[in-house]
Amino acid sequence: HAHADALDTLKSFTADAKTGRAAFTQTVTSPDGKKQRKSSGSFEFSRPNRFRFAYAKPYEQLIVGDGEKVWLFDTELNQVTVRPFSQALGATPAALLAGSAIERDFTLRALPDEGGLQWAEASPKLKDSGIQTLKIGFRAGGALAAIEILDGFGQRSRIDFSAVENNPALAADRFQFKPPAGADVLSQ
Amino acid sequence: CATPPPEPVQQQSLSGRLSLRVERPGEAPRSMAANFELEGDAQRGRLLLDTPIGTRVAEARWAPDGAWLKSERGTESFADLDALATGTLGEPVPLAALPDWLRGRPWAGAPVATGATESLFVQRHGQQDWQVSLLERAAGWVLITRVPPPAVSLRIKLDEH
Repeated sequence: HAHADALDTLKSFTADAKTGRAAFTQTVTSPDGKKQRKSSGSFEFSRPNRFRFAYAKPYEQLIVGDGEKVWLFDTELNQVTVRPFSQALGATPAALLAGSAIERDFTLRALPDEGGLQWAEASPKLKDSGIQTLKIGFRAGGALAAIEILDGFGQRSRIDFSAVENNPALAADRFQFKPPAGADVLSQ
Repeated sequence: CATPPPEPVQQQSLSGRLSLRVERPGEAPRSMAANFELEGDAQRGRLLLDTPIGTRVAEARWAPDGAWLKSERGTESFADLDALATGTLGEPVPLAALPDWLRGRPWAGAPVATGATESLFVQRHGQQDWQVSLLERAAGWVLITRVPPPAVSLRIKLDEH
């Protein structure tokens, strides 16, 4: 029946979408719901576990997952933070979007349709990931539409995707990161 | 120890990005970077650290009777903000002075060393001298470095300034 479709949609997205590209807007709502912070940029991924969140507004920050490490670059601070993929807090949502073993990493549950989207919930099996639950939303026809991240503090981050391209040709260097000369590299 | 205090009184909060770098001779430099939000003042306040995708890394709260840090390790309590900074960052970074420094003024808790100017001054905190540079604060930058070494530098870029 209708709800089961969300899991089928997620599984076919994972199986069929080897790469993807989209614009995104992100709204982070504070745990008490009183404050919202918006940002936007472009997102690309290449299964498994390679992804690129390029924030353009309100300031430039780049997150690149090269499959082993997650690099965070703040242009103005000219600073790079690098972490192993497994420990990167940003890895969990990316693991849902670009992972190749989502049933191993997440407990999946179909949710009722909402806002014209089909929703599936993914709870990370890795307990101390700092993330309570993730929701992923698809448009009719299976196009990626949104993800919602609820973290351990009750903060909610919603990322809405637009201009979604399925399986575009993406150069490998989109998912590699070389710290610029003179940048401050902090490994954690 | 007392339980964490209620929400601090709502004062114009500050937000931006911060980068902390600690260099000790003979040791690999330690570092931390995050998007932050700072509320309150030296007596009572909250410092929130987030990742760019909006997940929270840590929340520090302080009040006259203690300080608390909530992170993925759960909630830890400390005698005061200096103990919290030392416990988590390995250095008594003067978090209590940040609300004043980031608002472009010396911290009320200590005299300003002689020879100070409005945008470059040194203040003592936790038995250590900290140089605060507000030279580029109009562009949103506040640079805090401990003098003398081992070098601890806190670079802050404010969202609105």
